[in-house]
Amino acid sequence: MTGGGIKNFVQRVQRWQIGKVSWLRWLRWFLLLAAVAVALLIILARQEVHGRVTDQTAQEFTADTTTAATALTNEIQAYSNVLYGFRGLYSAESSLDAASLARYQQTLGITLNYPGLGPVSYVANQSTAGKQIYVVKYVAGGQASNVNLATDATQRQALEQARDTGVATASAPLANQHSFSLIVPVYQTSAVPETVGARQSQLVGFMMTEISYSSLFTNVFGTATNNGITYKIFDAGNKSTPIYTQNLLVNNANQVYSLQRSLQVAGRSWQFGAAAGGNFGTSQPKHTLSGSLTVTGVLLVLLLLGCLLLESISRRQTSELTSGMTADLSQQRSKALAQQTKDEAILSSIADGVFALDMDGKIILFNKAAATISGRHAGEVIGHHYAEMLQFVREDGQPNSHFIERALSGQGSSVASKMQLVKSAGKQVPIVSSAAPIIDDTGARLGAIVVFHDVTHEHELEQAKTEFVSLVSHQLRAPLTAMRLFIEMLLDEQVGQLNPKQRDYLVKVEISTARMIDLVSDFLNTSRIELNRLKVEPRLLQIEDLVADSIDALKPLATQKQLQLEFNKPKLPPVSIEANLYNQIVNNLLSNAIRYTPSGGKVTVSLSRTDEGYLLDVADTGIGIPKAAQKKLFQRFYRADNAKRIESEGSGLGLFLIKRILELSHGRIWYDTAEGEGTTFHVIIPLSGMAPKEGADRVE
Amino acid sequence: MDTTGTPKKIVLADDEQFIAIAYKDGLERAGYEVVVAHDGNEALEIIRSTLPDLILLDLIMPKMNGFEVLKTIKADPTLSAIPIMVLTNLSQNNDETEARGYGVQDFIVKADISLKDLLSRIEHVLA
Repeated sequence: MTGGGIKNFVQRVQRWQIGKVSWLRWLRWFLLLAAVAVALLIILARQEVHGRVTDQTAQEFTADTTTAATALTNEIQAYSNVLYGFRGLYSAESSLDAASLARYQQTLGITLNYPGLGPVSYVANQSTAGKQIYVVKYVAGGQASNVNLATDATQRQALEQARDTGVATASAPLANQHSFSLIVPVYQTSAVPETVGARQSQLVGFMMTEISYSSLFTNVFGTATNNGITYKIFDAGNKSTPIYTQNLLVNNANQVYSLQRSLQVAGRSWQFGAAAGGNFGTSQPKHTLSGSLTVTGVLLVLLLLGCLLLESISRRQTSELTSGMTADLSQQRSKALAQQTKDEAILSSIADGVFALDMDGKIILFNKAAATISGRHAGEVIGHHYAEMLQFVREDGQPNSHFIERALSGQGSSVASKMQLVKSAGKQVPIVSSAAPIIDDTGARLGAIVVFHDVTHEHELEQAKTEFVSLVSHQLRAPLTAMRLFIEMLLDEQVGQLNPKQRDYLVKVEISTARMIDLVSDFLNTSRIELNRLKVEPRLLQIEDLVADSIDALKPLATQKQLQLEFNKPKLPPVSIEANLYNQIVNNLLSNAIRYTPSGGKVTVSLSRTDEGYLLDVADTGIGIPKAAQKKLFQRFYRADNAKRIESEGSGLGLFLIKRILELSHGRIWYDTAEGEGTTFHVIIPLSGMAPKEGADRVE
Repeated sequence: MDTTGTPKKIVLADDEQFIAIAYKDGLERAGYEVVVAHDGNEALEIIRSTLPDLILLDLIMPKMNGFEVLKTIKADPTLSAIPIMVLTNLSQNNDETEARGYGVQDFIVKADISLKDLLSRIEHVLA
């Protein structure tokens, strides 16, 4: 499986697993959220109920205590009213005595209707100037004590307060501490005098009674409070000893509700204290809330259990899936690793330098050969832009990474020959390099891959070959040149006259020498072409003149063989060609035609301009090219059997050179032939002329 | 060919003895005075001592090659004006380019040229 295949597989597995697990996960989260929401709602509800209950209880407590206080003041008011009634009795009765008081008391049903109210007394004001004397004169149903109440500070204060205010007045706790006096002043007039001074001067006496605290409070509050409120009442004059207390509760720690207020009771200030514990108030809502809380709690527990169960199922499934996936992945990974190892092994075994680039031109792979050739380590270059790390230059030293940029931009593969790679030490290595875009299965570009080959060895070989060619050229040519010069001088008879035989022999030596010189030239030309060193440097020339010159040069040979050589010189526009190369073509074709056409035959040369280019036809009535020879005709050193029979000498390089020259200059050669009838070679040079080409050598 | 006045002096630098002899004979027969040098050093010495009208210079020679001789001659103001024809069997294009870079009057491949043609090229240069 490939890397991409593994990735797809894993993604597929992950998608499937996520799909299967997700509904459980979502349900789990939903339940958890629901539980949290319910819990929050309950807490809020509880808060609200508690608040409501608390408020309600406080209100209830306040109401109860207010009711109690009101009842108390009402009770006192009722008692006061009794006394006011007795005061009225004083006004109505001309003679007030104990019997009349008792009678009135009975009429009112005091014992029954006003429990706690003691017998009413009449206290006469017998004060003299400078001395206050308040004597208990009559007691309803009882014996008067004739005690001067002014001697009792408590009584005196209360009596004088009543005198001055004109209204019912309660005293501080009496000496027994269990009761207090309630006093109503009696004036000379039935109406209460308006000023304090008038009240003092017109005071007659007081209607007075003694009220037991316990009777009073028991009457008002009952024997015990059902709703849990306890009361503690102090007289303003004594804050340490309460006049009334209910010790049902109250230790401070349990006090939830408490109230302290000042209560005005018949001109006397009482400190009214009420308190209640946590059990005070309405219990019904508490029970309801408790039940709902229980139900909710159970629900919550169930929900949480559900969550945990789902969590457990989910976890088990995930675990199963994960382990399955892990096993699969492990297997795939092993395979991938094996493949990767193999790929890496293959990659590092390649003798060519290979490196890969991402779309940004950063190096992502660098094989061993690349490191060896460039002199840089993989670790050093990976992650860096290739241009920072590897400098490709042309033979002239100009930077050239066009072929890589071309591949990176997805324009296709390119080959760059005759390149130099600048090594880390600044030394240059000759390389041939190619770059190609990396494209995945979907056609997306991923980067580029660059392969380069160290051609140092090839360069050395080429150099050696060139040197050899140079050596041969020089070494062979020097003796041949000397021979040629001496033969020339001999034939010119500069050193003496030749007899005909001598001349004949010397001509043969001259021809042979010339042939050897030509052969050397053919070898050199072949080498130059093979080394790709040939320079093509076209110039605008009259192509028909070149052909005519060649024909003129070879005419003697044709004449000698009694051949007809025809050329109708056309008038053509100048063509961009290199004379050396074109001459090479014409000379080779013409000399072949002359050589392989029997005496009496005909060689016809024609030149014309066609749509494709400048067409040269060389037709002969020669031996023709046997079928067996046709395939190999343009191969180096090949000579057809029938040619060898006619002419033993020949390098077999002429047609090879022509073909290569035409390939270089974008021309073309082909032929028509019939064995024993003749051959016509066709050569075409493009209308644009020969394509120029850089090179170190020329043909000769 | 100047037949009326003093013969033109030619220094021929070629290590190939037979070629040197052939050229010397041919050139002297045509009326030139020819001094032959067989290596680069000798060539420079003779050129300095004779101050010839023309130098025929081979490129591959012992001791000092033709390019070095060329460089020295062109760097020497007393010699730099003497016309030079390179006569060699090095026919590679870059050799010709390099030689022509020194301002030589002609570049001839020995194997390709007959004595007759050489004489006419010399006449052309000396004209």
